Amino acid sequence: MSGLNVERKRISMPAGWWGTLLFVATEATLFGTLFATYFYLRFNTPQWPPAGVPEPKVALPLILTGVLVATTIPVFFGARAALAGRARLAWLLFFVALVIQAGYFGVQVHEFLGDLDKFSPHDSAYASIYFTLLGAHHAHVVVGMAIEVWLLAKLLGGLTPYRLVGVRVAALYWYFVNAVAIGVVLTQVYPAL
Amino acid sequence: MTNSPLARRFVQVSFGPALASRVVPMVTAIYFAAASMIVVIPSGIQLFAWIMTILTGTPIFKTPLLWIIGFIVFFIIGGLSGIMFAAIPFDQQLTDTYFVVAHFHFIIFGAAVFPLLGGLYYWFPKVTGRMYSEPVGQASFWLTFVGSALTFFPMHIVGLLGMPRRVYTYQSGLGWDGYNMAETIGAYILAGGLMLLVANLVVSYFRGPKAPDDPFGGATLEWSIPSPPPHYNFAVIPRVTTPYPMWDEQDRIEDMRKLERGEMVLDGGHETPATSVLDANWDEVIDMPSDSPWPIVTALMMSGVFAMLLTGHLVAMCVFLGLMALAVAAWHGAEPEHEAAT
Repeated sequence: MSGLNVERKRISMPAGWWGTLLFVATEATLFGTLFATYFYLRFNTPQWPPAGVPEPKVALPLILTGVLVATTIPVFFGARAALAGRARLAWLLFFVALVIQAGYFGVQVHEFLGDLDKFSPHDSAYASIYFTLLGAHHAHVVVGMAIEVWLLAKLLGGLTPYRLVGVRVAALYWYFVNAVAIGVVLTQVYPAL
Repeated sequence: MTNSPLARRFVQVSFGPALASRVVPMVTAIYFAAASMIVVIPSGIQLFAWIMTILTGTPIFKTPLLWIIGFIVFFIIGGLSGIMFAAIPFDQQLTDTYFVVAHFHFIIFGAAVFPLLGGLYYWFPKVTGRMYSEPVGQASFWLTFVGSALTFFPMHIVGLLGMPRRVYTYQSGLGWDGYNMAETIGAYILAGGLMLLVANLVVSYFRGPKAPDDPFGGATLEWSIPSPPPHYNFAVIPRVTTPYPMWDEQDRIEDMRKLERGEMVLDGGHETPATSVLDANWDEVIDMPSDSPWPIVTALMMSGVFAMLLTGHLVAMCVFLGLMALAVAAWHGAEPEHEAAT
């Protein structure tokens, strides 16, 4: 009797999803302060980037971000498939997303290390915020991939209500990371535009 | 107030109207003046709401209510000296004098600490299951009340006489001596009152008579359960339709019926009800996380990661990062059997 009553009342997102939403809000604040720091420094600096520091590349970061943002599609349909009970399809779609994201991350790390060879975060305010902003974003990509690896391992054992919460959480986190990626890349290439 | 830079910054931000005018440009001074003026309106509404609540209710003049009345008195005094700062010439004359010290102590101590102490007395029987001593409680209130008035009121006068704040000594013959002596005596009375309060609560905690369920005839539902509250305090989520649920007998009868029907007992796991925002109607059941050590372990490891990042110990940071990953894995490795449907 009570079970039926209670069951009927479950209409909203699970608590884990709400928790992740709060977490994402915190992370968004972090990136908000990073963006604000970037432009605060930029408008207090006559030459941006400073002498001796090359202008950022434009085409490659934009293409890379486009690729990353495109993974929103397999993540979205993967989550839909899981909620519809189609575990194998969900696994496949999340795996596709993970492979693309890993490729993106590999190229980004290569670029990051290449930039570190040219100038150091100790050199100037520009270098400092440049590497901080990009590093923070790459760290979020790493966390997102770790969540996906964990999820893929779990989904091998089939779907449970608990794992469906995990699917929602992973999807929400990736929507956030992909949205932030757009802001990060526009800030990154802005001096060269 | 302490002299640490952080505390001073905090004070400047929160008490900007009273403290900051001397060093700020005119635009800012006008802003602070307007803010000082505007804040009077909600404060006044609050004040009348409190007074009317007491007047239209059935006040029980025991220790908790005395503290609340003391709070209202001090809040009026502190509020009236606060609104004066909205006049910029007055503000510039008195910034960084003892007048400001008097103002914010009436607010900080009279208006912020008094209700806290009243709440301490009010819920002490419910929390500990023991009654405090009523005569000693009233004595502690009057000592604290008289002590704080004697400590903080003369500060207005020495402030108007020009005594700056943050001085530890001054020449005699400036006309400040008597007032400062009165403040010193008041401070000792005030400390005595607070010590009496602590002594009352400590002794009552061990020796006090057993507290009844509802010593004050309270209106809210904590008074409907034994003191101290047992585990699983409410067998059924109570129906609440007014601000005085203790006095709504129909709702309490409805609770008993619900218990008999087994409705809203939420015994299917770690559950809690969520309600709609405006009408507080039962909206849904939320599954709360179960008891687990892993969240706190994860948080501690994460603190370690950032501490090592700050101090530049990258190897130790990696160790903490690995431990954090293990804690997360342990946390989510075992799936709870009873979990929320999605």
